[in-house]
Amino acid sequence: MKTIKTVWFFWWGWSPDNMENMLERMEASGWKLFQVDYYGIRFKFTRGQEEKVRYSVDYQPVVDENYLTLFDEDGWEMKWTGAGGWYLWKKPYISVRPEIFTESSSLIERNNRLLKLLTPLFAMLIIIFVLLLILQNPRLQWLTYLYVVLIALYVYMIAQLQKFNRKLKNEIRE
Amino acid sequence: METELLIKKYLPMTESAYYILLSLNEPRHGYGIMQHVEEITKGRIKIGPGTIYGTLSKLESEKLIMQDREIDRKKIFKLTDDGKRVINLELLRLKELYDNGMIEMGGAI
Repeated sequence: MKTIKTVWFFWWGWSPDNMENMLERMEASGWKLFQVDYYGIRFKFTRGQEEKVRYSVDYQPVVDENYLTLFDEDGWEMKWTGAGGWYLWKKPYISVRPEIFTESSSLIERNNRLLKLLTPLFAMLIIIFVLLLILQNPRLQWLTYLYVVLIALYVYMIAQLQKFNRKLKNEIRE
Repeated sequence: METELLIKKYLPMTESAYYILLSLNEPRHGYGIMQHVEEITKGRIKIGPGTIYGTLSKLESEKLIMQDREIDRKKIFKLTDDGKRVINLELLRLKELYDNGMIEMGGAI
């Protein structure tokens, strides 16, 4: 019988729910997460006890030690951290599925922390792109195309984060 | 800060922010607040660690709370004078809501 399972799972920073659900389903059927790599998209599981657990993702580029202590005291185990400030938390439970964020505003803030990272990077992309256009060097043509793709990706990510924030704000008003 | 400005900026509060501030009338650390809020609301409100961490950082940068001391890698927070005023202003607002409710509904409870 196979004892190690590898799952590749791509997820976006504004909606890690699908990834969290996948991990919870794996744990419920006895596959225990023991390793995460490639910036959080490859997950390795080993055979173990079936368990009802909650997985939750946070993005915190800068934290003080209070952050870790607080989660630890509330019974959360850090299963992975990396890629510039992502944290994957796990907590076993019996009846009520626990949450690390109990207010929509906390999710808006998580998205804002991502926007704060993406916006200056996006500005930098644009500047380099403009420089490439001015230089018109035929040997750099491929780089220009690459930048078109990157800019499109950033526009998509920023737009999605803002869309999710609007949705969350509407939920607060209701 | 002026009272009007405090009202405009911080009121009405979310239930979590209200209970977090209220809990800090006595110096407490993050997990202590979570436990206290769960206790006084008889389990109705459970604040997650992510929300507590974010709210405390925000309240601290807004100077409604401040660090009292640090024990075992845990920051103990307490209310600042502005924090105390904000919670009292919110209490007045809630009292008005409650009083008017009682009057309009004939005091039946």
